[in-house]
Amino acid sequence: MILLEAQNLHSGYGEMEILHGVSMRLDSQEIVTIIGPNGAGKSTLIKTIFGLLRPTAGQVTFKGLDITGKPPRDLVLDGLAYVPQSNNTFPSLTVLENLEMGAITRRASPIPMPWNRSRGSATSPRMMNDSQIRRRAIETIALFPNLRPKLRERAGNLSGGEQQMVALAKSMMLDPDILLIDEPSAGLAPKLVDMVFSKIVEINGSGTSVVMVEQNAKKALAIANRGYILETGRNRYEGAAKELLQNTDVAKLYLGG
Amino acid sequence: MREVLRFTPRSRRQLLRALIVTTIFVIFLAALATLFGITILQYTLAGFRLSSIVIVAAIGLTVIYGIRGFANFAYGDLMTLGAYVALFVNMNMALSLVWGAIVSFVVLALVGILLEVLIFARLEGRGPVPPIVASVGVGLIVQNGIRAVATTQQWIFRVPFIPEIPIVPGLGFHWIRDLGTVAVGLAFMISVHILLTYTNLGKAMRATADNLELAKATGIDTKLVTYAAWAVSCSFASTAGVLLGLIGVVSPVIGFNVLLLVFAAVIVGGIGSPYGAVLGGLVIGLSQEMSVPLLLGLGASSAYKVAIPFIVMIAVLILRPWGIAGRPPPFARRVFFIEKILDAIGGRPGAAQDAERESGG
Repeated sequence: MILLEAQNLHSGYGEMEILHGVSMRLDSQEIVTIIGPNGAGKSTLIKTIFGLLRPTAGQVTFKGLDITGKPPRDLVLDGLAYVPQSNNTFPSLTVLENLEMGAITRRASPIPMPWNRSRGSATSPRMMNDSQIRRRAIETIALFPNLRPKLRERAGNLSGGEQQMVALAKSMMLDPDILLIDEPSAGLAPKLVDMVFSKIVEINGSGTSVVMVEQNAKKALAIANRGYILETGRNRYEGAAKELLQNTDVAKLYLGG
Repeated sequence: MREVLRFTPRSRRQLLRALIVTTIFVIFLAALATLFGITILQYTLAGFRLSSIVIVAAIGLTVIYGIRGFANFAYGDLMTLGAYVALFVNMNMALSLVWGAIVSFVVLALVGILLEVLIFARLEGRGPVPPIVASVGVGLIVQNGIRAVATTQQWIFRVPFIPEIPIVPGLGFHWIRDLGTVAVGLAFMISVHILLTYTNLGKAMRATADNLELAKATGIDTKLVTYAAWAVSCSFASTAGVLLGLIGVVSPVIGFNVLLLVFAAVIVGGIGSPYGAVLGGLVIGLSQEMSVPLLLGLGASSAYKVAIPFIVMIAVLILRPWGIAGRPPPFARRVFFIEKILDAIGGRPGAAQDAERESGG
């Protein structure tokens, strides 16, 4: 079943167009990785899907519904989550507070305020009160046991690998259908990269489909079902991860021989 | 759940540190009192009074800095506006000043939201300079608007007359001017702490101040948070203005005159940190008032006291350029000379581990 589909996306920053018609799709239960050289538009693609950039042309659909240009807040409510490449935690908040922020869109206000803009508090059965959010945070942290003793530490005081875990945990708070991850391995030691990737596989096992942008193409393809290779804002190759790993052209150009 | 609610080492450490600082301060005061006579305590009381006002204002200023990333130069005049709104309720409507302060609090909160909607929201994403210039303009408009409407005359709030209560000769206090001001300051500090630590709005405000882009991507309603920050900031300005009028007179420049002190408090404490604003306000207010006996002892006029907070500010910035409670930038961790001196004297605890960590990468 097609969960997320981007068709012929054109997007960029201001006047500068970076994506010149990129298409991709994500089926349910899949891990799809987007690889390619620097400046290929990998991050731009994921940001455009998540509504952080507005596409000039093209369409994004989620479960068959058009979500092109919808603001991130609405997409989070729909069931998407996004982990940026760097600065992906709130450093002055504790780990627990970071997780609480991950669920803030579904927080039912104890006072029914007319200006409370968390839409559909009446319609959505998935709204949570504070104690439910706490319980969900404890549940989520079970996936990341090494964060458990650090719930009350400030996220800014944690190591890079731990911060990446906090960012993943924060995005898992609402149990999203799709997790969009931008370069989870950036700036991490090789040992930590393996750990982060194994967490991503675990997250995928729990029923969340994953779109992952990666520099580290070999390791990313090793855990992915399918891969897309972008170059200068266009689709270059796509296919099953195993085939891409064995494709000699791809290996020579993008996997470092 | 129990694990979550545990008394953490961090909070224990902070409590211990606060206790140590308080004890040292009390001992310091006792020593001063025995050396220079009991009058020094009177100046200390005046220092706490000024500190309370500066702290309330500095918290408000720093909140907007944290969320919107610019220094609001209209802040002094917003304080004045708060005082005049309270004055209007107090004089023209003949109500108690408490009502004046409450009405002023609400009115200024709305003024803050209005400023964001009408002016500052339109300047978002253009860097820090345009909103600063705009805030200077807002300040000029407010200050001269007040002059036009209420004339440049000085006013005094109508409060019940209470004589000063002497404790010992040379030391006395006034229920409203001294204790009232300090109590309001404390109440505002506690409420800001509760807001930031225990409410979702406060946590969302801190998150937005940390990283606006991530806050948006997380789904935090950053617009609502910004309005809340303006409301908090400007209502704090109104209360600071009322307190200023209470300890002196109400005139069109009362807020503007203390604006530099408030900026100094924010800078000393560490820009963008409400807890730093509290520390900075204490340092600034106490240093200004407690320097008076020192100046008199040196044969100088007590009018020089207004310079002392800025000398203190410069001293703090030499030792800790990011302020007392500010987060040091990563590139400047160990280049400042207090650390160098401590290292030279015989090392400081943790120096060895630091060196090890640095050489290890």
